[in-house]
Amino acid sequence: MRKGKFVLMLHAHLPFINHPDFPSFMEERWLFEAMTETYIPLVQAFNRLKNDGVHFRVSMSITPPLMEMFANADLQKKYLKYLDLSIELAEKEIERTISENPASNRLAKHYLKELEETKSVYIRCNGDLSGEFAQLQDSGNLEIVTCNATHGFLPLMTQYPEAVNAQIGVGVDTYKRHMGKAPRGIWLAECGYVPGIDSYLREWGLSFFFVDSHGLWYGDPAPRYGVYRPVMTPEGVFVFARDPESSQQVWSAEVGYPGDSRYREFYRDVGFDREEDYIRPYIDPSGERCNTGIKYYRITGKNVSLNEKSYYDFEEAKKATREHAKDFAARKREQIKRLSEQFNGVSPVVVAPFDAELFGHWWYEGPIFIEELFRELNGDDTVVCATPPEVIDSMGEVQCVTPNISTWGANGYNEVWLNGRNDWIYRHLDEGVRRMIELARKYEKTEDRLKIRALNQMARELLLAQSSDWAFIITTNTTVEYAVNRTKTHINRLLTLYGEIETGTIDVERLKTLEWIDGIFSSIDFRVYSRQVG
Amino acid sequence: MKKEDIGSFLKTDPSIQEMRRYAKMLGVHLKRTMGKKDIARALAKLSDKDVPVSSQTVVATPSESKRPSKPVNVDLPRTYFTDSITLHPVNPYWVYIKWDFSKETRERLDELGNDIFVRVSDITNIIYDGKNANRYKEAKILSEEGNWYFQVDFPDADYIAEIGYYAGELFVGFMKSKIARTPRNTPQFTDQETWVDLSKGSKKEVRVSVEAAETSLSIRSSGPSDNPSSEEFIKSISKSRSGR
Repeated sequence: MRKGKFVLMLHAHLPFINHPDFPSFMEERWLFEAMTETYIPLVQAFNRLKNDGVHFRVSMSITPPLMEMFANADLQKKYLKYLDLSIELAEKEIERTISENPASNRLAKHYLKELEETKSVYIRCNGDLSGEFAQLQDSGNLEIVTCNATHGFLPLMTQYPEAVNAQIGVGVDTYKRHMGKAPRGIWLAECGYVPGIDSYLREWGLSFFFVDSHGLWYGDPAPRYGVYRPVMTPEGVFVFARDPESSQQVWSAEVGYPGDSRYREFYRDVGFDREEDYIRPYIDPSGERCNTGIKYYRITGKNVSLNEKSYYDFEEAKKATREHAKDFAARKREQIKRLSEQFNGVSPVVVAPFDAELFGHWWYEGPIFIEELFRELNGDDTVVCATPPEVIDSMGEVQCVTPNISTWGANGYNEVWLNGRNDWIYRHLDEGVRRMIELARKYEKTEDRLKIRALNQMARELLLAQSSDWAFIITTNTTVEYAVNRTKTHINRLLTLYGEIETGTIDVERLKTLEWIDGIFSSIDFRVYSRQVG
Repeated sequence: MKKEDIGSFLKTDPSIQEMRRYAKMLGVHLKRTMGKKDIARALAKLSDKDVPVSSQTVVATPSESKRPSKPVNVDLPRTYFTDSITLHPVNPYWVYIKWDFSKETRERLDELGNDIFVRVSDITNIIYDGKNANRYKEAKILSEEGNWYFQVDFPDADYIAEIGYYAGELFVGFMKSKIARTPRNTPQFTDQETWVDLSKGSKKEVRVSVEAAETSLSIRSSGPSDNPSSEEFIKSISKSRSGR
């Protein structure tokens, strides 16, 4: 019997967005939308699979900023308010759609039920979503890996080994604080790999990471089994590489499943469709319209304009997920059989990494697709779902390869995070790193409590400025103003703290404020930057 | 801030200084002449209103600004007046160089009055002595803090960036970056593989035929003509999302 392993990897990440001094803040909705549409639906799907005794395995990175936001009391409170407003809107929509259309009325009822279930999951776990995922890890269904601290783009930090080391070390420590144990693997932000990063991973006790396909195709040497067997770096860390076929089947604009005409249309939302007076309480207080999650239309067709879309039918969409899950499973069986033959019986490993937010947020039916896929593969003779540690445990030998410099961004290298629009960032990030290292070494042995607090806050500001999301947003031209201002503000706070520490004029009130608003990584120790590394 | 939170604070018998700080945090205007009782009354009055601020204000203190977390478009320094030069690969065919000069360097260069150049040299497989680069490209620089994108000839090659001037025919470099390597964009086949036996931890070398190992896999990488600083290039990559 030809068998192979299938590793589904979901990368869950959002930048740290916390504005506790605002009753609501537009960009905080990113978290609330992802919680409602992706993270909680995934928890629900995984728990249904577990309760039904289905064999399933998922690898997930829950990044440190996400874990910190899940645990933030203020964001928890705001999320409940967001859910209550969403429920109120769904209730109003039920009334309103009675006279509109039976299809939208049915959907409004569906959304109300879904939101109430979401709220009950959230209340049952007392807002501890990391804990919900941790339970699934304890039962062996999930392998949760960490990520570097604030999703900093490591290939552009290599000039400063201390900065790379701090990003990884703080990522490991944050995982331990939230999950109660050490992570076994890591997802490097943006899959950004440069030879040498693996030595930091080994130092921090991490045994595996992921690269994009060309990280192995163009590795040194090209591995015998391409991306279909993990390899080991010279530092003894295992590397799993992305299978392009799996990505194509899910993501492709032409043939990808989420483009099926029966699936829900993302861009038609009552947040944009309803009249201003009616929708105002459910959008941003500034009056700026945004998604509410209540959407009545389906994709309908590739060339159908937004105002000509047909009504969405949830039952029909569910049918589509079953068909697509069957199709995907069949393709994985065929792929594994084909690869086994090519490899003279050596068992292939197919790794399919995706942004977690694709499932649910962008592709509404995505979590159901995942659930259906594992039901389809339950007890399969050919495709065995596995986590990376299970794959490693099953290997007798492994090839040594140094992966190529690579990322999973457009074109596969650094250009998304380094181009004419966003290159100005790095002058300031590098200066921030230089000053952080300078003071960390100078005050390594200080016992002055206030100075220690200021230095720790400086480290937080640096890490927050380094988040790869800001450079990405500037390139993709979405919420550019927010990304630019976040970068500048964190750098400015860092520079001010540097000046205050050096002149002995630390403004206690201001420091308190920064500890509150930029209060990520409560137990950070600035001395992580004082270590000689690299 | 909830009514009960203000109530609990008052029950802790705070000092007048603590009460003043607390009132300031909540934006309550106090007169200098107000005593403890007056401040307590002002706070109690506030607690009757439902103050729409975050729950976390209970444990932290906002500064003068009422909305300190709002990111602002602050002007960052154009220069940090430090001598620095960094080189990063953008992709297999482009590298990015940025530099900054200290005040001393600026003064020295002013005195010298020469044109200043940024140079990128291919130093693959050599011990670079400042003169023996395989090839180099350079551009005259117009500012003491700036950046430049160079199109380079080879993926998988070592590059170094320098800033310098000409003394006659001789290039005098006075700032040197760390070496950076451009990524590969083709497979690197060898006839020697290294394998690790995971149960024993031992390594073995295996000889293989290169033909057997070859695959036809390839991806599109940015060609030499796509300048990463151009708007056309950025537009071409901006539609893509990670994870696709």
